[in-house]
Amino acid sequence: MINQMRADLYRQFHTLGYYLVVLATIALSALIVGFKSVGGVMIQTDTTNLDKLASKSWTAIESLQAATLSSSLLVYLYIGLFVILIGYEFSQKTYKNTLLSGISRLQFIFAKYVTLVVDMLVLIFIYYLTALAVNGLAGRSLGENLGTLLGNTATESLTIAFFISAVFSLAIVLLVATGSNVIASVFIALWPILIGVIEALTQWNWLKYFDVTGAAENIALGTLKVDALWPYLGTCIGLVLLSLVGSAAVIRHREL
Amino acid sequence: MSETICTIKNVDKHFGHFQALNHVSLTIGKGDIYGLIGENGAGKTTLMRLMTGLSPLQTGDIELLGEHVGHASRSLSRIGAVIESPALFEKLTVAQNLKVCAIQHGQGSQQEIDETIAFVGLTAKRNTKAKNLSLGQRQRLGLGLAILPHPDFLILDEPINGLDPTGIMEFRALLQRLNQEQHVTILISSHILTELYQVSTRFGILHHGTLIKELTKAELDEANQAGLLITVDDTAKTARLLDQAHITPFQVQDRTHILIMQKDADAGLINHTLVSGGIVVEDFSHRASSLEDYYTHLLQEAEGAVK
Repeated sequence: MINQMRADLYRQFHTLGYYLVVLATIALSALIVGFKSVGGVMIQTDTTNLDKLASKSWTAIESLQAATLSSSLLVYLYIGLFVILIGYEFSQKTYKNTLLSGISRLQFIFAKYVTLVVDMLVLIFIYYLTALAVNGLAGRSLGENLGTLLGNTATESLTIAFFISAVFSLAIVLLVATGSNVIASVFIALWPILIGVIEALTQWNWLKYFDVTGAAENIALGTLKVDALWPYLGTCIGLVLLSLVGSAAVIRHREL
Repeated sequence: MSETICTIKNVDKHFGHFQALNHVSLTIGKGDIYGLIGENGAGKTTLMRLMTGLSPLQTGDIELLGEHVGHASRSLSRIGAVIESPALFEKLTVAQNLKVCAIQHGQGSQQEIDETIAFVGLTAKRNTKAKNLSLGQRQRLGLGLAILPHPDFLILDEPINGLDPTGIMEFRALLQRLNQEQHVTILISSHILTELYQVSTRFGILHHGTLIKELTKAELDEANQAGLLITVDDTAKTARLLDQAHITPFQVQDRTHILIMQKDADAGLINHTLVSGGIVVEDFSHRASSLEDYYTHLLQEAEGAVK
């Protein structure tokens, strides 16, 4: 499994698309903080807090908050990573080589997922570091000591990477079942919107646990406290585990 | 008895109502180059996909390098395979594709990668992206990926499809070197029968999902003997005369035909011997060994048996 992850990372670092994703991540963060603008997929977000944030005098704290509020956009950027790391294996059937290396189906899927999470973690950390750097370049103050800020950045990177990874784990099931990059990518793009719209239309409150990008926004706005975070995390862990085991089961019973 | 690399027992495979494989059983011994012959749709690829675990086994059993396929994946790490077409990372170079494979298998130093590139004759293309390789070069890279982890058993599905005559000759030489120098057992499928005849030591013939014949190259040669075919008026007397003149081996084919089973039989000497002995020799003709003829004949027999 470790060998598979190393092979994927080697392949990724020799793919132009990966560097484009890195550049896009940096550019997005720089634009948000540089222009003091907040954007993303927001279906039921209370705009009062957003207005307050926009009108404030920004320090690094507000910059990081804005970056988190816009993190739903990262989902779209990381579709590229998903295609490079996992989608390509299925569209070009290179998994035939991979599965002949002696790796089990479950290890194969887990290796792909973990590599994706590690990648997203690094990129989201770069996203936040860019926010801090642009904040500094714009001559704004830190508003907090650097150690605390970096600690918060690491925690938020981890949380958001994990939340986003839940959507990607569901996309892996679709990719494995259909073999279609398009279906899996469209699913990733639509999930944040669909969940938000269905929740708004039906008022099914429990759907909020599946709204992973919405959860990230609420963390940034401070409307979701750490105590209330556990059901979200639990749902995410459940989704990820079910998706990965389900994907492995589908591969095992599918004609590859 | 020689060591067995692969044992397939009573394997069936259905796709809906279509039966792709019907009670297929075969064994592949260590050191064999096993040629799997069959028309398109005969079940060759399906069998290879089952052996490599790319297709779920429905009934029967496949034992590969001492392990049951489907129960453990360890044996898979000891085989190399190119099924259907080489699976390459198109935007990576030849060397980078091999590097990915080496990392996946947890082995393969840079030196081994270089040696593999040289072995498959792609040294000049080592920095060329896979998407820019010709069909023959892709097949070579596919073979390189399959042999890099030093497999004990190599499974190649129609590897000479689309190659030009020079490419076919070179690929054949590569396989023979692998078999003889690195002692790799090879299962190779093709519908280009003459090519399989050139390279294989054993043959299995699949027809409509059924293995209709399994034989060694010697058995095939015997069943499909080349030589000098003589048409005479009396085969019994001819046989006696040939025996006395030590012109052997020969085979009485029917009431008027005798086959002298020598590639370079002296037609003049034979004619003189027979005519001197009072035989009326009506015709001499050279009969080439033809795998196609044998194969066609087998298929006709199989079709007849079905009818």
